[in-house]
Amino acid sequence: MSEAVRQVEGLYQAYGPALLVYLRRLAGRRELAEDLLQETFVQALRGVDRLDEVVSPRAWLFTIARNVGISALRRRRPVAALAEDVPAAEVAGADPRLERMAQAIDKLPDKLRETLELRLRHELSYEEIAAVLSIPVGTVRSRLHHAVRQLRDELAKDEDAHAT
Amino acid sequence: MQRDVLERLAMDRAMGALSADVEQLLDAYQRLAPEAAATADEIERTVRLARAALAEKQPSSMPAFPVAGFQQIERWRRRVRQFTYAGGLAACLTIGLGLGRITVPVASAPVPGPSAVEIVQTSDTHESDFANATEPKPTQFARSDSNDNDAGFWSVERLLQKREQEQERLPTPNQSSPSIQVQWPRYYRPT
Repeated sequence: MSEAVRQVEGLYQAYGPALLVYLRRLAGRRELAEDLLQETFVQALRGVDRLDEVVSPRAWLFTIARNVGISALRRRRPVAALAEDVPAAEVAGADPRLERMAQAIDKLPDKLRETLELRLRHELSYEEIAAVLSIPVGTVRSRLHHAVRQLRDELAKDEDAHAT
Repeated sequence: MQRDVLERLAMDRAMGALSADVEQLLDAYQRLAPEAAATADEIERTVRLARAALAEKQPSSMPAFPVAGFQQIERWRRRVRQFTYAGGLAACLTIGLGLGRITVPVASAPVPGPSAVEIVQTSDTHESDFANATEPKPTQFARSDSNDNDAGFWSVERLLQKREQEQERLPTPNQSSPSIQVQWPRYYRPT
């Protein structure tokens, strides 16, 4: 096995599961997500020479996965797939508070939701999120701040509705 | 502290992205301002709940890494890289040769070296020549290769022409140099 393939296999073992979760959320269907995962690592193999210059391999792979996913979605446009295949309740579990929170997260604008997910689900640092989304770190903080504020407002509204 | 700044700091702390120094300062401020502590607690609860809602189990089964397919891609990649390198080299060479052909004039490109010159006496030396001679005669050059008609920079014809021109410019020994009269000013004139 060549050195490049061995390197990419190492990345696959380390970050493959997280990328599959990310791509599943992005693409909606598991089969499509698996195809996109494979495409992501093919792209990674093509650019493996640059891996030494990369600060965070995780951020680099998420960037590739995001680009691959967005390109695939532009081609196929499965708009309703996310709501069908990965419902909020399934993600949140049986706890009603978590279910409400999952619904509130689903209501967030795409940019805010994506930033929040990269931080809380995949635990990327602010710098890594900035690299993946090609935005400044200040914008990452600002998006997270807005996202948390909207979630608080949404939950407060919900609690008021339940109280009355 | 402004509410907006407090919310941002509380959010950074809840996200785990606040430095230890700033965290201590925030804690100290919250001890002094209980309403700030309530806001920070609310933000922390929201973030904790969002984290729990977003927590997703890792996929139970991962597709196996397709080693064979990736090795084939790698072989192709290496071959393409070799071809690209060779192609680039060939292109550079072609461009270099082409530019050289365009920019360097064809006539001046091959510079012939100086051809062999043989020194020969062109006329017989008479005794009278020795008697009259005050200075040695300049050596006369004649080309041994009369077929070579090059008129380039290094040609023998050009060298001979140049030498003749220099000799014409030099004054002959019997030519007297013109006298120069110096007009002295009156007060320097010797009495």
